[in-house]
Amino acid sequence: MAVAVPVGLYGAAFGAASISAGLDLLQTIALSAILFSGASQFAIVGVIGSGGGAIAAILASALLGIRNGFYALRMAPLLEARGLRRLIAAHITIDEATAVALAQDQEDRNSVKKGFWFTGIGVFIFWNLFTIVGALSASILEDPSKWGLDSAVPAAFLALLWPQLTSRRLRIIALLAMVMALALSPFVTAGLPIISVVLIALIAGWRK
Amino acid sequence: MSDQAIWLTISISVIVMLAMRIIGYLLPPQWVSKERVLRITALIPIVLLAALIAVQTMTSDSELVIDHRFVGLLAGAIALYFKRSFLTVMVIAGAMGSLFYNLS
Repeated sequence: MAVAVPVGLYGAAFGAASISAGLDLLQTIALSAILFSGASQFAIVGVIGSGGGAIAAILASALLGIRNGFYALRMAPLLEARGLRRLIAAHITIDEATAVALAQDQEDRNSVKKGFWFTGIGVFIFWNLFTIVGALSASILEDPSKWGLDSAVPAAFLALLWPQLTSRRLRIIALLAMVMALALSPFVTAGLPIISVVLIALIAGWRK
Repeated sequence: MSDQAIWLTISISVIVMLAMRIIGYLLPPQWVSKERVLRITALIPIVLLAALIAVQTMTSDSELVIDHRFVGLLAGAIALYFKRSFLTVMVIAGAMGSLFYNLS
C-alpha cells in the first residue's frame, strides 16, 4: 500500500499534464483506466501536447510498454492465474506490482501473489482517482518536481530493487543496466534505452 | 490533433499494450520453465528496474542531467543503506528532491 500513495499522486500530475496537452476529461480518464501504464500515458500526452502525430504517440507508448510484456513473462509462472483473473493480472502488470511481488521471498508463493495483487489493484485505484483530481485541478499540480514526486518515485523503485540484489554479481548486473540505459539515452528514442538492457539479462543468464 | 485522432491513438495504444501484456502470460509454461529461460526472465525485472531508476533520475528529454532528482535518490539510497523502512526512504528522497528543486 505504501507504494500506491506516491504513485497515485503521480497520477494527479498525469491528469494535469493530459488536460494541459489538450485532451479532454474523458480521454484523460480513459488513458489511466484502460491503458494504465504511467510512462506510456505521459508519452502519449507529451507527443500530442507538442503537436506530434498519432503514429509517433502510438509508437512511443508501445516502446515504453514493452517492459510490461517482459514482466508478464516473469510473473506468469509465479501467479498461476487462469481465465478472467489472468486477464486482470495482465492489465495490472506494471513496474510497481512486479517490483513488490519480486521483493518478497520467492519461495513463499503466497506473499508473492499477495504483493502483486494488492499493489496492482492499489495502484490502479489511486492512479485513477488522482488522475481525475489532477485533471480537475490542472493548474496547481502541473509541476511534480515542486512536491518532490520525481525524486520519491525512483527512490521507491530503488527500495524495491534493493532487497533483490542479493549477490555481488546481481549488483554488478544492475549497475551495468543503469550505465547502459544512461549511455543510450541521448542517442535513441525514449523507451529503447530501458528495453535495451534486456540484452544484459540475456547475456548474463545464458550461462550459470 | 483532432478529437477523433486522439481517440484513435488511445484505442490503438490500448490494444497494443494489452496484447504485449497478455502474450507474456499466454506463452506455454514448458517453454518458459526451461532452466536457461528461467535464469534470463528472473534477471529481466532486475535490469529493467535498474534502467528505469537511472533514466527517471538522470535524464530529461533524452539528455543526461544531474539535478534535484539525483540528490533525492542519493538521500534515499543512504537511507536504504541504513536499513530504513520503505516509507522513510521515499519521504527522505521526496523531501530532499523537493528542497533542492525549490532552492535552485
